[in-house]
Amino acid sequence: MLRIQSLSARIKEGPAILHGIDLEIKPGEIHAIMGPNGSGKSTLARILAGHPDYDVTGGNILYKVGDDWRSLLKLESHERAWLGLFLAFQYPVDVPGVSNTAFLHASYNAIRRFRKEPEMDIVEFRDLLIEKIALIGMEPAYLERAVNLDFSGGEKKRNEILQMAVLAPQLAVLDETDSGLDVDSLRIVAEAVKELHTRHNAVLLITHYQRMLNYITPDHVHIMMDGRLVRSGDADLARSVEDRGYDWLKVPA
Amino acid sequence: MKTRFVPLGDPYTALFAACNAESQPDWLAARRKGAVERLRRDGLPTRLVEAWKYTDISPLAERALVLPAGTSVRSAMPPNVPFWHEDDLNVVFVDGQFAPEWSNAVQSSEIQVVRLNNLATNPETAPSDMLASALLNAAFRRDGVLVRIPAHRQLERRIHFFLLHASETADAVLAPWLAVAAEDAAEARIAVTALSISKASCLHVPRVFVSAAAGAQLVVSQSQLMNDRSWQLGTTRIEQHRDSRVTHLEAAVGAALARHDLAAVLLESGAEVELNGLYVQREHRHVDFHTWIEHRQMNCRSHQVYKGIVDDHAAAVFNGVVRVHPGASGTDGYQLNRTLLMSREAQVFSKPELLIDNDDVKCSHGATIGQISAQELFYLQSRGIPEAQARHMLSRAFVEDVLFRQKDIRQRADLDALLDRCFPVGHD
Ligand SMILES: Nc1ncnc2c1ncn2[C@@H]1O[C@H](COP(=O)(O)OP(=O)(O)O)[C@@H](O)[C@H]1O
Ligand SMILES: [Mg+2]
Repeated sequence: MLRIQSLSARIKEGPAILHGIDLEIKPGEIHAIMGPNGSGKSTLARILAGHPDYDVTGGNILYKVGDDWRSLLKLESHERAWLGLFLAFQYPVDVPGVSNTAFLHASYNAIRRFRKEPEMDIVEFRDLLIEKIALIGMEPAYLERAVNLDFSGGEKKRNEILQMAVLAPQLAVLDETDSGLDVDSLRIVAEAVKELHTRHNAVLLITHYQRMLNYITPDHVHIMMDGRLVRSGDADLARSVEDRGYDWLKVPA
Repeated sequence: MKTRFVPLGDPYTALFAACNAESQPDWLAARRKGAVERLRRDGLPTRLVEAWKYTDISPLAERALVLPAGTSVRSAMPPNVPFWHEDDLNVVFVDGQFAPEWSNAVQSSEIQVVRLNNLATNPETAPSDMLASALLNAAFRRDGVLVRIPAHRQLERRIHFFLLHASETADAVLAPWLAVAAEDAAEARIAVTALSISKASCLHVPRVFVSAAAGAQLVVSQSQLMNDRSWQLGTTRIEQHRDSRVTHLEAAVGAALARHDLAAVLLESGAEVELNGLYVQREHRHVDFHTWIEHRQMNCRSHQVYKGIVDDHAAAVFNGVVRVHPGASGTDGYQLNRTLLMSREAQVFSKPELLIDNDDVKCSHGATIGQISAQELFYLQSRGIPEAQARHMLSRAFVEDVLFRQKDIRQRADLDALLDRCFPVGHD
């Protein structure tokens, strides 16, 4: 589904952050990337989503569309979403003046237009939202509020998962969706992610802690340090990190 | 342009005389006399006068204004105008004249509607406003209405003033006056819609006066939808007594040149006022908001947010003053003006000002002029919304944001529909 090949990247007019990342994700898999603060996890996530602040300086990101592999680097951010890529932001953005409903309705229909499916009218769409919002335990009143504006940290994260539930992506990249959540919210979010996961789609969990992994068992765990994936393993690797921290994984300079 | 004022042209003399010859209560005659004398003596301000630095009304001095013919109208009339609702308590003015046949409010037993000619005294007790706009209203005022909302009445139905410009004659001068007196603990929603149904030019100089007695709660919306040949120089004064609460929202999308001077005076403690504004200015339009909030007593609160979009060759001016008197401890004041600048030729002048004579206050203010946020744009795009559509959504949202605080749901729906027309959709 996704092949990241020797990906190197830097901040536009700034320092290099990623130094040759390789990663393959197959349908049905759950991957986790763990690593200390500042190691480049969000950079990778944003580059996957097509954030304009970065330059890819080497390598490629291939994404399977039908039977073809296409380079995501040639696609704009919205086109990547049309193909089923979704990023849950580490810091979801406030959008004053756009209601949650209007925002999601526009997204949903943009994707349907791309798929040459008929657009859904707002009445029907509201019903869909009411159904989905139950999954993340939020009140329907949130749907008429401006996107993320004056939401608590936890509410913003849940709102990302609501969007994921509505847009039903093939590949969901969740960037620290678990941080800033209280225990109950964490459980609700984790259950929702599990619920949405099928053998046809895949999840890339980016996390700083092992908390989320108490609920969701990843098939593969990768450790990122200084812009490199220094080690990969199964769920046991996450437990080792929890016990021992990251220092023992440092590659000698 | 060297002088601070330019003298009024000769045609004004006859116009003033004609207005003065109509029947009027003594207080209005006196007010008119004072205004005319002042206008004759000073003339109209040029841009050398600070209050008019960015808005030049001096060409009016040479304009050949006319009084609208009384017979004009009335075919294109309600209900075929935007914002019209049959079940509002409507108070309609056509070309500055009260039109009782369209005004169902006169039949209501819940409020009292008094025509200006039947008012023995001037409900505006403050010293006369000497701003040119207010003087022009007083000089040309030929009709007006006071609506009184009795104490403790909670009005279900909204009061809606329509200030219609229907005259097909160019350069008609329209000077309606409208006042709302909400008595103790009265609650009401009030809308004021200034609207051209004619394509001709006019000079519209409306005067609005609102008083909120102790504990009164008012939601007031003013919308300016004049045609793009017309000028509007409006003045509004809101006076608030103890623990009253007024939420005011103005929207300006029309007129070649529009200036609004809005004063909210918190006369007694515990009063709260919220002033919100939104504007969408395109082509060569020019809009100028001057707001003045006065904290006279303790523990009053004011909150002000004006947001607008300026595109093409349009210009927007915001000058907001929050004045805190020495006795006004515990004042809480907030003021923000944000403008989205959409073209290189567009102009924005923003000046929020705090004049504070008391130490025990919490006041903040700010102004920003900018472009669409790159973070917001990326967020929308990452959800599959193409860039052009995302920009469209975000520019509209920039002003729509102000509507999220609007408590008059009907007004919000009307303004939404108006924004639909300002931001026509198209998927690219
Ligand atoms: N927009 C930016 N400008 C400057 N430095 C940045 C920017 N974004 C990220 N960085 C830097 O890039 C490195 C990686 O950051 P990030 O990808 O956010 O790490 P993580 O998500 O693993 O905590 C950090 O050193 C961070 O300071
Ligand atoms: Mg991060």
